[in-house]
This record gives sequence, C-alpha cells and structure tokens, in this order.
Amino acid sequence: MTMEITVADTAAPPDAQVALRRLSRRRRLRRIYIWLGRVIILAAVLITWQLTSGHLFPAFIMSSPAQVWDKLYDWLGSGYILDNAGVTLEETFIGFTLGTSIGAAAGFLIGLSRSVSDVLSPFINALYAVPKIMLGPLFVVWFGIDLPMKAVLSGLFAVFIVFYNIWTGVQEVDKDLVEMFRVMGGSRWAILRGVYFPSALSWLFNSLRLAFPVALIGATVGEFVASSKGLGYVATNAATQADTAGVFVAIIVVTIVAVAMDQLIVLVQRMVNRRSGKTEGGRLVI
Amino acid sequence: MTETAEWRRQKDGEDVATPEPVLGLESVSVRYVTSSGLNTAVADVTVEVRSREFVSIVGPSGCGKSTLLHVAAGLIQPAAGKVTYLGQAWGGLHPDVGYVTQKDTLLPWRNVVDNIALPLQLKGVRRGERRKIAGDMAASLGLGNDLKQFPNQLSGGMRQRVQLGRTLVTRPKLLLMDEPFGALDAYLRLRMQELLLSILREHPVSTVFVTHDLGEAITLADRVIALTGSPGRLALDCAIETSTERDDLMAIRSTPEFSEYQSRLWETISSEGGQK
Repeated sequence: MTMEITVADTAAPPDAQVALRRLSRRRRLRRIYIWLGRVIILAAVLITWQLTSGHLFPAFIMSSPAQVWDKLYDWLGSGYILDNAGVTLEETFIGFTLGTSIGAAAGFLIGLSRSVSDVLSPFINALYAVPKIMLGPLFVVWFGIDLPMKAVLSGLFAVFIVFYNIWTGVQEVDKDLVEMFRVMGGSRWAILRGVYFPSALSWLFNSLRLAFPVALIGATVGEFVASSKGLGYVATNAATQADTAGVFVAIIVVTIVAVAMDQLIVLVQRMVNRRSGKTEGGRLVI
Repeated sequence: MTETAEWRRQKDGEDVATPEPVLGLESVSVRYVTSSGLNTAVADVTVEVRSREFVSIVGPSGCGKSTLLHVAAGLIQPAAGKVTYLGQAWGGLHPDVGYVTQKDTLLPWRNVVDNIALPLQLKGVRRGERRKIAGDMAASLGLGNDLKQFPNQLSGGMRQRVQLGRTLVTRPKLLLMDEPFGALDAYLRLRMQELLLSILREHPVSTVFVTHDLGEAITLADRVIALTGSPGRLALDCAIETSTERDDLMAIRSTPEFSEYQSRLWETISSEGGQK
C-alpha cells in the first residue's frame, strides 16, 4: 500500500512542515535502500556465476552471464529468438483466449446454480487433479504436432484457473446485495447485471493474471512434446547440443514475455477499475 | 420494469395522508425449521402502522424484531396471519416499501450518486433524470460534495446516509429500518437520528424502526412496541408523548417523561424476557 501525503497549503505550522519534510525524506531514502538491496543481490548472483563458471563448475554445464549475453546478442541479430518467441506467443495467445473465455463462461453459468455445481463438483475436481502434462501425447494423436496441439494444451492449462476462480466467486456473491436488489424490485436480469457481472469482473482479472504464465507453460510443454519451432524447442534443441547458454536465453525470453504480459493485464485492470470504481477482489484459487 | 402509478403520482408532488393503516400485521406468526424441530420466532403479533407514523420496535436480542421486519418487507411469508399494505392483503415484496439494514449494502463499484440512483434505474428512469434526482437527495443528506466518491472512501456514517438516500429516493410509502445506526458510535448515532427526523419532516413516510436501544426508540418514535421472546410476543404498545419538540433529541432525554417511558419499557422487557 502506498501512502501519499500532500501539503495542501502553507497554513500548516512551520514545525509541522519540517516534520512532513523529514517524513517524506525518510520515505525517499527507504525506497532508495530497497532498490539498492535488489541491485546488490542481482549483481552478486551474476558475479558469482561469472567467477565460478569454468572453475568450480565446467563452463559447458553452468554457462556464464557473458556467454548467455553473447548468445542473446547473436540470436537477436539473426532474428532466431524473436521468430521463435513469436511462435510461442501465438500458441499461448490462442490457448489463453480460448481457455480463459471458456473457463469464465462455464464458471459463471455453472456457479449460478447451486444444484448444477453440486452435481458437477466431483467431476470438476477430478479433472483439475489430472496432471495436464500427461495429456500431451494424447493431444499429439488428436491434434497433430503443429500449432493446434500446443494451443489446446495451453488453453487446458489456463482454463481451470479462470474456471475455479469465477465458479467459487459466483457462489460466494454477497447475498445481502442480491436481497437488496430483490427488495428494490430488481428482476433476475437486473440482479445478474447489477451484482453478479461486476463481482465476476474482479475475479476475472485476478485469475487472468494467474492464467497467462500457466498458458505459457502449456505452450512450451507442448513444444517439448513435439515441435520444430518456439521457445520450448529452442531450449530443448540447445540442450541436446550441450548449449546451456542457449537454454538460459530461452528461459530469460520466456520470463520477459510472462512479466510483460502480467504488467499489461494489471494495466488494463487498473483502467477498468478507474472507470467503474474500485472493485473488491475475490478470493483466489490457484 | 416500469414505474408504478403510485410512484408517478408521488413524483408529481401529491402526497396525501391515507386514512387506512399503511402497514397492517394481523396475528402474524413465523416459524423456522431447525435441526431441533420447528422453532417459533414470532407468535401472534398484531401491529398497525398508520400514515406518517413513526413506530419503534424494541426487545431483547432473539425476540424476533428483525424477523417481524422481514415479514413487513415481504421477504418472509408468515406461517399464520396476514400482511396488508394500505388495507390490501399482499404476499411478497411491495414496490412502495423501502428497507434499510445495519450492514450497508452499497455497491462497491458504484459512486455515491449512482448508488442512490440504483432503485430509480431499476424502475426504468433515464440516466440524466435519475442522476439529477439522486444528486438532489444526496445534497439534502449533506453528501453534495461527495457524489463521485466510492463506498470504500466513505466513513460509516456517510455510507449509512447513502443507504438512507437510496431508500428514500423512490419516495416509499413505508420505510423499514433494522438497527440502521447500530454500528455507529454514540455521537454519530445522535447526528444520524437528528438527520433522519429532519428528512422525515421533509418527506413524511410511515416508518418502522427496529432497535435494541430504548432511548433511541423513545426519542424518535410516536409509538414504541416492545416484544419479548422467544418466541416473540407483543408485550407493550405505547404511544410516546413528549412535551418538548422532537428536533432536540438531547433535551427529550432529560425530560421526566423520558425516564418514565424508559423504566416502563425496561420493566416490560426484563420481566418477561428473563424466562428464556
């Protein structure tokens, strides 16, 4: 939580102003220390890695920050890494879009009915418990080894996160709000629109943030199973040639994609919140 | 949802006191099914609320005051007895009834003016018009500068004022309040009581006010009804007559009538409530 102190005018007595200034300086200093600490930790890890590589551990196993940097520079120049990142992104986006929309719609509709939820819950829990990676070989048979297989796998990873959050959220909608709508003579549709949709929106955004990295995992796992393109392929291909620097580059690029997308979702969420007021965050199920 | 004829008539400024009681509860009993069997919450209670009358219901917790209010709101069907509005039997939610609870039920994603405008929206009033009506209501509750604030930015007293505004904005014929100021501190509660009375002077509405605070009941109400439980039974139905004006609530508390009423209510409640 951030606290903001604004000095409205100079009407505050001078000693209060001094105190305020001292407080804001202490806050600023604290922020600087925090960032300093982060930079020091990162530098320490990279330097230790660089220094021990080739001495404590063989360089072809550990690689080194310098080698990783060279590899990244090479692959960026040749377009190799961006092309493959594009392939993975495409698979992830298709899977993410399909998975989250199906998950959101199903979670919402099923959650509206207590009876349907009760009937379906053991099946849903069983499906949730299946390690989705195990379905990879099956999907190769069903969807081939190209984009559809990876998109489906990616969507399958994402679908449950959104489904679970919306499903449990809809069941826990504030019943007092629903009763208030009823007293005011609100129709079922008005209650759906006035209480359920806005509540669901906050759970949706929170779950989208969790779903994207998971969809990314789904796509790369699909690429591990069978592929000739994508960041998952880059990693496995580099590994078979004992090119650990290449594997690290793939890991770094995947991480950058995930973080960038997370920030984008946060941004959109903030914009929607600002437009419709602050929403109360639902509880999250991971 | 179309606006009711009743509501349109009121909007035009025509508000006549009706001779028949606005709310009639006739020998109402409410029973709940619990794991230990059938539990009677309210037994054979008869209450009439006349036009523009302010009635308080007091009693120990568990005496069924809230349950009775739920029946009056049409949220619960009584196991026996009859509910009438303006002399007509009615089984269910009535469009001319406003209901305020202790816990605020404001929509967190709507600002003050749109929260107050919600019931107008449900009645199909257009956006511009309903915002204007809601804005005026907010202003009369001292919220004129907070129209764009969201509930989580408001204090408890302000949220309760928004609730009151939202309930009154449709000009209900009957206002039901379930310990509306129960969560507020003593000072704020007094301020809200004064505000409520001044609002009711402007827009006269028959009011049923449930509270466990005897002082609150005596200073606000024209008539206090005491229930004892459980099951909740009518123990006392007594008109309150004060020599002072209603607009100084602290002054009422220092009159001899006040202490008389208070001890009478206290005796009624404590003597019979102890059996439980």
